[in-house]
Parts: sequence; structure tokens; C-alpha cells
Amino acid sequence: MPTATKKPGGKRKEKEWELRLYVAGETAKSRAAIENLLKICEEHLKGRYHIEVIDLMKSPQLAAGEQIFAVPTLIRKLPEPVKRLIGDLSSTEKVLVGLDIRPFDEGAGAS
Amino acid sequence: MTTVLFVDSERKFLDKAKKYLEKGGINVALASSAEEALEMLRDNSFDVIVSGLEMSGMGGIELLESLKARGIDAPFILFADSGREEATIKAMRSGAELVLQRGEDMRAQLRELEAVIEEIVKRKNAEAALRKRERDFRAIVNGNADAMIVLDREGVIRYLNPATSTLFNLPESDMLGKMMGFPIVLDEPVEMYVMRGFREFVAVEMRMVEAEWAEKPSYLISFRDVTGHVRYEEELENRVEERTAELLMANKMLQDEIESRMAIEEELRVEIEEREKADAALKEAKARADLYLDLMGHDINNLNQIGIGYLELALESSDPGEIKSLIAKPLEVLRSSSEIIQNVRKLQQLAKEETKKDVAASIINLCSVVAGLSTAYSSVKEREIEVRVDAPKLCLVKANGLIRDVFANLIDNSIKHSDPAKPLTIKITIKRVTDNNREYFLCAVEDNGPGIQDWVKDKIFMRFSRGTTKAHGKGLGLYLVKRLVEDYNGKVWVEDRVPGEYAKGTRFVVMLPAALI
Repeated sequence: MPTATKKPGGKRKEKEWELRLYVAGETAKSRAAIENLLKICEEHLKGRYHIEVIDLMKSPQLAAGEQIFAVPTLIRKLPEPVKRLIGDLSSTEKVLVGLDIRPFDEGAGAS
Repeated sequence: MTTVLFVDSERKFLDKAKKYLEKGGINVALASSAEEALEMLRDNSFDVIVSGLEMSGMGGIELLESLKARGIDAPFILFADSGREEATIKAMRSGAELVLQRGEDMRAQLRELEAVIEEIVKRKNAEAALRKRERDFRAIVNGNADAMIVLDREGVIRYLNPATSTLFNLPESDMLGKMMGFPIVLDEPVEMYVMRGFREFVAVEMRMVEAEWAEKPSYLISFRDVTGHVRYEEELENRVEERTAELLMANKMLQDEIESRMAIEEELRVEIEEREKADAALKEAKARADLYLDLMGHDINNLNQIGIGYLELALESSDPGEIKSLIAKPLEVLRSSSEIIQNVRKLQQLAKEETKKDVAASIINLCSVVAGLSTAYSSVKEREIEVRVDAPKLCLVKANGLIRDVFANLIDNSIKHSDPAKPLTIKITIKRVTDNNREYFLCAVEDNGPGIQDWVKDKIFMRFSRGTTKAHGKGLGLYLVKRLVEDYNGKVWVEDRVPGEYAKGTRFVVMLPAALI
């Protein structure tokens, strides 16, 4: 009996994005940063990103381990190389550049 | 001005070179040997040193090495004869800036030399300016109270000023080479936090300029500690919150106050209403008192005057028969007086019962009341009176004991207004009727007396309205009847016994609510 199997490699393998955002408390600014990041990811990395938000006001002990000098800090853990952003994370365009997400980048270019 | 030291043992070449270069504005010093050049360089410095390769005594390459050994690193240009590639390579390895080929056309060579010197000087000036700028930059950054950090394109810390160590409470070595992050600044300054010792939050303002550092494009960022500023803002916010809370509290208190005032007003309103009621009751009571006083005063006084008149006549008379008849009148008058007093008492009682709201509280059998009256009036002296009753055995009404006076007054009224010389027949009939779905007893008291003219009919129940007959009246009996009947929630009116013919007698109709068993 013939079986139809769909090759997982049929589509070019896409980069998985792992982002970690460090914020200080549940402030309007923190919310703006989170919302902006979600918006960017939904638009450009839909279905292949994971964001972890860490509130350093709640868990300040996590700052030293990850060497967080400033808040907010956004870390791109994956894909490598690791990248970090600090400052005004509500600026979509600059976050895109900082994370090296090219608009409409399907993520297939990197091997 | 650019200064050049020209070293060669060929004097002619030196002179020509000097002449040519000085025309171009270059200051040229000459040395005819390497030893002499070294001697001159002891006290002077030059922008460029030009030397021949082979000279008497020390050669050009040796001179270059010697200069390097002494720490003199002015650009060194070597003139070499063609075909000395080996020497050229050696010279370049030793740090010569350039090796020029000496050939036939001296002018062309000098032109080239001049261009090279100018180029070197230009470059040197640029380098010096850059060095100065870096020195100045460091001086500014180092002395700055704000934390200033140079980040490379990846956000790695390449330089930090002493204020940074203080702000972050970390030694320089713990920060240099660490990745802080690519700074994103849209509008300066960015309000954010830095982690002092990776533990404590410090509110800062971040500013950024793109700068060149160690000849690489970099970012110079500064962090200004605005804790004081933030603290002030927080304090302001706290104060606003406190003030808001105070205002809310004040508002609540005001609301409570308004509510309590409204409650007091309501109480006051109720009290005023009660007072108004009490006032009305008082007015009513006063009106009643006035009425009683009127009755007592006016009627009794009138009656008394009549009595007095007869008694005075009796006093003057000597005829016993006449005296007897004369004193019969005052006796009748006195009876009337006491009747008035009795009626006033009944009205008073009525008023008292009214305040107790239980006027119509008991159930009375109307038939037995009427039957009793019939017996009493049928035996009135000196009159031929017949009281006939046509009623069922049981007629229960909501009333009280004074119901007897209603009918007694109606019978009295008929007797008073009838001709004493004629026989009087009073007929009382009681029927059960329904009006507006309510059960009533309709009691008619009719006589064959003189009747009541139509225009008087609606006035007879008023105080002091009397019938047109000459008979004495107190104007009170029918008033009492009306009041009692109304208190029993009933109605009373008068009509002709034979409709349209008033002279054939009167019919009083009393309608009283039946008591439900």
C-alpha cells in the first residue's frame, strides 16, 4: 500500500529565533517594548520565534549571570551570533536593524 | 613650514636640490655626511629626512637604522642608483618611507621628491591632528561626570571613563571587552536603567553619538544618573496620589454630609408634615370648640331668654291656671337646652373617637336600634305619633353606639316640624342595596308632615340652617346626623316623600355600609 510522506526538508529550513528581553517592572515603557517586539516578530518571524521576558525588578539575581549592564536589554540568543540591543526598544526600524532582521526576510539566506 | 634634512656627499646635488625645493616653500638643511646629519639631529627635528644610499663614511641604510635606534621616526626617503634592488628592499625593511631611483634627469627626480615630501607632510599633519583629536577626546571623556562608554559596532565595550566604573560600581577590567548592546536611540535622551553591580537599578538618561574609535566606526554613549530627578518625579507622583486620596476622602465626607443633611431634611419634612397635620387637627378642634361655643352660647341663650320671659309673666300672674300654663313653656325650653348640651357632648365624643380612628369599628344591628326608637317615640305625651318599622331582623352595619342618635334626631326633626294638632306617622324602612359592588343598608325615614321646600333641602344639614316652619329648632340635630353618617362612610340626603310634591311629607335617606360577616 503506497504511503504519502511529506518530506520535512521540502521547504528550506528556517532559522529559529530565540529572543530574551530584560525589563524593569511592569511599566508603560516595558509594555511598549514588549508589544513592539511581538509586533516585529509576528510580522517578520511568524511561527519561528520564542520570546522570554524577564522582569529584573522581580528577579534581579538574573542580571549578573547574563551580564545585563542596562535595562531594557534585548538579546538575540539564536540564531548565532548572539546580538544585544539596549535603549529605546519601541523603535521598530532600529530594532529590526539591531536584530539583523531584514524586512520580509524569510530567514532562508543563512546556512 | 616643512623642514627637510638633505644628506648626501655629492655637494652639487645637494645645492641643486636645496635650490629647487626652497622655491616650492620647503625649508632645506644640508648635511654632507651621515655623521654630520646625526650631529644636526641631536638638537633639531625635521619633518622629512632625505638621504643618498652610498656616501663617504656611513651609508644611507646605516643612517636609517641609526635613526630608528635613536627613536627618530621622521619619514625617511632614500635616493638609490638604479639597479640596487637589494638595497631598496633592505631600506624598505628598515622602515624607509620611500626609495627613489637616481637617474639622468635630476629635475624630474626633484619634482617627484617634492611631490612625495608634500604628500608625506600632508599625511603627517593629518595623523597629528587625529592624535590630537584623540587626546582631546580622551581628555573630555575622562574628565566627564557622566558615564561615557565607547561601543564597537557589535555593542562591545571598547573604552570607558572613570565615571562609568563609579556608576556601574564595577572595575574597568570587568567591563572592557564585554557586550553591553547595540544602542538604540530615537529621541535623545532615552530614559532607562543601568544595573549598578548587577544588583541595583539606577535611573539614567542615555545619549549617543557615532564616533570613530581606534580608526573604527563606533558609538560613544553617555549615561547620566537621574536618580535625583526620578526621585523628585516619584515624590511628585506620590504627592499627587496623596492629594488625590485626600480629595477623594474630602469628597466622600462631603457626600456623607450631604446625605446626612438630606436625611435631616427628610426628618424635618416629616416633622413639618406631622406638625401641619397636628396644626390642621388643632384648627379643626378649635373650629369644633367654636362651634360648641356658638351652640351653647347662641341657642341656649335664646332658649333661656324665652324661658325667662314666660317665668316673668308667670311671676306677675295671679291666676293659678295661667301660671301653670306659663311655666310649662320654660320647662320645655330647659329640656331643649339640656338636649343641646347632650348633643354637644356627643359631638365632643365623636371628635375624640375620630382621633382614635375607630368610629366605624364596631358592628351594630341597625334593626334593633330602630325598633327600640320606635317603641320610645310611640309613647310621646300629648302627641298622636305612630312610628312604623319595616325592616329585616338582621341589618348589620359598621358604626358605633351613636348610630341611635342619627335616627333619634331624624325622628325628633319630624316631630318638631309637624303640626302638634295633627296625628303624625313616621315610617322607617330598611333595605339591603348594592352600589358600586358594595353592600349598603338603605334606611328611609318618612313622615306626613309639612315637608321641605326644594331650595331649603341642601341647607338643612348645615349649622344653624333651620326649616321654614315656625317650630323651634336648634340647627344642630341634622348637622350631627350628617357628621355621624359620614364618619360611618355613609351618605344622608333628604327628598320628598311623594316626588315633586314636597308638601306631602319628607323622606330622609341614610345609606350605611353593610358589615361583612
